[in-house]
Amino acid sequence: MSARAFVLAALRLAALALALLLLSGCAKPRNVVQLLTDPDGHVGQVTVTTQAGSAQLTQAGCAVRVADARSMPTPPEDLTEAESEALFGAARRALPEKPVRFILYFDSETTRLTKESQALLPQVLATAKERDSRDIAVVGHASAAGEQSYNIDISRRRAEAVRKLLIKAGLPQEGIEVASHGSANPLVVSSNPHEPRNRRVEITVR
Amino acid sequence: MPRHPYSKYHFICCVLCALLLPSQALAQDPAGSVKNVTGEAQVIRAGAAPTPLKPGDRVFEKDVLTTGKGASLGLVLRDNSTLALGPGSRLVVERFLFEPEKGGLAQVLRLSRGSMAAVSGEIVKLNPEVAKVETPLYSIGIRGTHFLLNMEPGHETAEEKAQAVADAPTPKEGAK
Repeated sequence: MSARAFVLAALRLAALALALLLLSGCAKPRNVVQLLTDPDGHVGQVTVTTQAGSAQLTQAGCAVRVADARSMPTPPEDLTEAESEALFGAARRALPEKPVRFILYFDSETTRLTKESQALLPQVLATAKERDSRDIAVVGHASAAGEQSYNIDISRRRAEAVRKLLIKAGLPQEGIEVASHGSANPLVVSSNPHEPRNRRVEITVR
Repeated sequence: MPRHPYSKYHFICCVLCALLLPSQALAQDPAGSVKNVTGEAQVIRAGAAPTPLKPGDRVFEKDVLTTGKGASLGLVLRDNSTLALGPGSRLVVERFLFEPEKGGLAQVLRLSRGSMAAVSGEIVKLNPEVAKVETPLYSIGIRGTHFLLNMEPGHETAEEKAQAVADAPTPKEGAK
């Protein structure tokens, strides 16, 4: 009787040891995809696909793991703050701020900024300096009125005029790229070919 | 006998350089630019030695970007998507095309090891079908916007592994 109890106890111990061993040996896979709320407060959706199939992430904070290419991703789970930090902390801290776009308008058939847009320039410069931006896109656009070649030309001259203003104000020349879209890329679709809101230069400060 | 026997070659070289360099530089629009670097981050381009990255550097389609131990790298792409790599990462810009006025859109990145944080931009907004991130074990499709992924090392292809040895940062004296 007592020998039997001893064997049972030994078996229990062995089972416990085996379970512990399995647990430590089968740590959760660290191939992880996590979805978060974006800087605008919006939650998107990503699909994680292996050879075995797909899993969708639709809720902020949820994550799936992938053990190997031939297994399904695990069902979505919440990651602890500590694990998310261990996996993604450095990458998250290095994620650049979202670029900022400014729109400057022009008097008809000129490369002269409207008064309101002139007043916006200090804000453009402050943003570029604050971000230490070395990547600024200056893209000129024209309204639909007039010939295409003329529009390409005037929107290039508008962009060039803005580039000069930015450089004169001390922004690094090599960081500024200029392009001209003519009337191909209207801001507003309008029956008025002279639509003033399409006579513009868009500045993206990255 | 010419006084400078090499001057002819020199001249030809200069002309060739003048002809070749700008056309190469113009051949491809950048996919984006480097916004921040902590520690050691490098780019490997076909036929060139690994080059350290610094803020303002442009990155292009087919570039291989790597980060060393404790390093990170932040990027802004042309469609205003933002992304960052954590330490020990390797990312290839497999495909990048952002020409919305011509309908040309594509964004395929490959993370063969390490970690990445991203916020998608105009490409995903205009056509989510053309944007994905691949890894050795899984791929992800993106309908937006803010996501993180991690890929443990050791699953790279033979070619990527060979490169991993080449692009691993050289350990400092005395450092383990």
